[in-house]
Amino acid sequence: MRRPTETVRDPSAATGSTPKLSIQDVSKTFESSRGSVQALTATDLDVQEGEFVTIVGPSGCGKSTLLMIASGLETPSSGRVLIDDDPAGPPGPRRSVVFQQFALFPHMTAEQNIGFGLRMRGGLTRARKQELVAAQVETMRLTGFEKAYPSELSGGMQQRVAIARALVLDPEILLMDEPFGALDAQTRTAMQDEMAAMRSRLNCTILFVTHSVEEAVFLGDRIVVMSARPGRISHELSVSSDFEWKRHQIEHAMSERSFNELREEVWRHLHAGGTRRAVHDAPDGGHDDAPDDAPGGG
Amino acid sequence: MTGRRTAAIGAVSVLVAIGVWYLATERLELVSPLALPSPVAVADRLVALHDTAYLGETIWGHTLASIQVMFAGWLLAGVVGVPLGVAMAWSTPVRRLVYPTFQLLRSISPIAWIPLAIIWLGIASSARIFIVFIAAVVPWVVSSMDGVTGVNPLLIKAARTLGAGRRTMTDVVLPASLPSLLAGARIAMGNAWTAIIAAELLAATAGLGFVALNSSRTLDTPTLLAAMAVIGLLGMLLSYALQWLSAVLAPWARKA
Amino acid sequence: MTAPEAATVARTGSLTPARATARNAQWAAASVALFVALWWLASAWTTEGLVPNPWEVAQTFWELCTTPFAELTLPGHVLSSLSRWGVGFAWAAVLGVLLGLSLGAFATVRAAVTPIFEFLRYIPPFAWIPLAVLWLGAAQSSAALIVFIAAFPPVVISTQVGVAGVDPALLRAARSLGAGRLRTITQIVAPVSVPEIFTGIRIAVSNGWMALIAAELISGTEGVGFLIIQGQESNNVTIVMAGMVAIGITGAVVTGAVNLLGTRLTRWRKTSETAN
Repeated sequence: MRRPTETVRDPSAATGSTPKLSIQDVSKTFESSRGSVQALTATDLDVQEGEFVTIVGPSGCGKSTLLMIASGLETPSSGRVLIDDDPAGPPGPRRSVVFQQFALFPHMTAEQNIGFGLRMRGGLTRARKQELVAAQVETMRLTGFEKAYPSELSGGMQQRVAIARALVLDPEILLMDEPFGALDAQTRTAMQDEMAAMRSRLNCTILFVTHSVEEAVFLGDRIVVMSARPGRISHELSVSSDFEWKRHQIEHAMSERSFNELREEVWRHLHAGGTRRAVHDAPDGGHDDAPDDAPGGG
Repeated sequence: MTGRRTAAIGAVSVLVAIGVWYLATERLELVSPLALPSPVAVADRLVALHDTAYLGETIWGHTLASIQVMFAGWLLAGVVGVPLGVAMAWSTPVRRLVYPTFQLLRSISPIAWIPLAIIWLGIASSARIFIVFIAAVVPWVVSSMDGVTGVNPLLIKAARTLGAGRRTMTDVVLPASLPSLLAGARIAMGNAWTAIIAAELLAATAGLGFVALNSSRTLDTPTLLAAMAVIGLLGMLLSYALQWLSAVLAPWARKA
Repeated sequence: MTAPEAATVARTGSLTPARATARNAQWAAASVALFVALWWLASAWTTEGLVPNPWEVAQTFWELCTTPFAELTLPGHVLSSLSRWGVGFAWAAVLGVLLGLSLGAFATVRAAVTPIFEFLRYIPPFAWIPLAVLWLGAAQSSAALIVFIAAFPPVVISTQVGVAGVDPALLRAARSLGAGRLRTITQIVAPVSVPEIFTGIRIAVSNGWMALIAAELISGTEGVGFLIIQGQESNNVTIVMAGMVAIGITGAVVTGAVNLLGTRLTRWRKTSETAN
């Protein structure tokens, strides 16, 4: 059985070619002294080459767990992860991760943070490494801040360093775990626009976890909706690239009718899972996981 | 790793350490018993000292001697140190006049006061109380000062608007600085225990440090190690006792 | 001592930093002057020779700097003490950081070492002096061993605390960027723990210095501790006090040097502290 029965399979995702990233029958159970908690029930997800998939869901739905399993940082309790039909193995430069709280190394400058993965990889000349780092500094608009420590950078800048650090390795798959969750509202909007613009330049497959429905709709080619207790994929829907607002800024997009229809559809699915969540509210507080605005009339 | 596994590894590790010590001394005789006697010899001596006098006292008598002097010095340091620390925190003129000198004097190791104590007070217990006092007074002062300056100013304002007046100090500031004070008391106790041992090595006629020094001079290593073991165990007990006391007195500040 | 300093800064907040520093220096001078005055009174009111006055101590201090007492001049004794302190402290710092890192990084090592370490660290370093003398004689190395015993535990404990406090997200990031276990420890865990490690190093500096003085008092053949115990044996309070002044100054200078090194090594962190 490859998928829970209540899931509606979106036909557009079921193309015939080999998926770039294939998550098969993956589940995760955490053992603790007070017993075991199932964070994720058996889940399948295929991501095609070059696709931008956003995963949206409430606190405790296992979306970050799913991403960590996809990155190889977390081992699944069952199931497997394939890249180009081969077992993905341990974390490596083919998959880069951008973390929730940036996870910049505090004792390294922006430049040193960006170059870290290159230094770990080896086999590159010093000049080549510098060149690659410099190119990232330029595209991420960090010029002038190369020698700054993370503590001296604003949240938005820190985030750009974190993205540059992931992209400098030229990954095939980019895994982003609520990358904009720690930013203030204005910076966040700016970064969302920047991400959308960057997307066309990047030739990589992106899996992007968020708790913001707007972000998921605006950025994703396909939206995966997850629900909690137990964590599972409850719905998938695709976003046509024909929408005009895909090429606008998020502020403009949000006033478009088609955007809002999609947004409401996602909310409806979230809400269907959310009625349960209201009863078993997440014990971990989930300050950065909870949807930030309530569904209008739902 | 589960707690049970940690405990098991810990137990095995302690047993292995004692086993190696035993094999190296008692069985293989790799080291001279003068340098390191076997654990059996140390345990035997410890049991013997329980009712046989050594230098005039049993091990209990020496322990009591050390603890009495240590407590006297520690308490005296608290009685002097806490009011001084609170005064420095509360009053700007006092702080400005006392604090620089306090900083200057504390840079002299408490141990360096021992010769002076011997000249001034001889090898009576007052000399040792003096040394313990010097070692313990610093944490008492620092923690009470930090405790009071660390009290949220909003709490003091709140107390004033609620009409606390002169009772702000006793009813709000002191309780709020209690966790810091207790942490200081614990450090002071550790310092006091360390200092009493050092003082007894130089100026004493009884006590565990006195036993340690004299046994080493007569090359009686089993007694030396027995004394060290008692010193370690007591240090540990005192530390745990004060931790427990802190938890009882200031249960709202578990991780202070 | 940050809290009272912070309070002072807060109270003189309206002044410029330079003027605030000048005012603090004036008060410090007043404080020391008051202390010296009280000391003078004490020496005047006590039996001759029991409390020498500050001037006598200063004179003796100067004489000791040029004329040898107990075979060396005062700077000679200080250097002799410092060399033993340096050996013991260096071993404690290096081995302490290594043990602390392994305790923090490997649960099995932690489980095996903690019970033994926890017991041994409750034995004050001074209690080891008789044993060290028995093992190594009254030589230089027994004093260095005592410094090591005094300085080692704070380094181990603070390193372990530092390692435990490293944000797990950094470890994941390092791993996803291709760093292996060893490189994660050397390039991420160790440098990120440096501020914590330095907290322990600072304690180790003063613990080691204090233990060295004790060792020299009991079994020294040279050094400042030996100097003051010789002063006591010849019943010369002035020499004892001059030696104590030297101990205080040396301790303060060494602590200051280590603090300076600590600030330099953790520059990346300082900015974030002031910013937050």
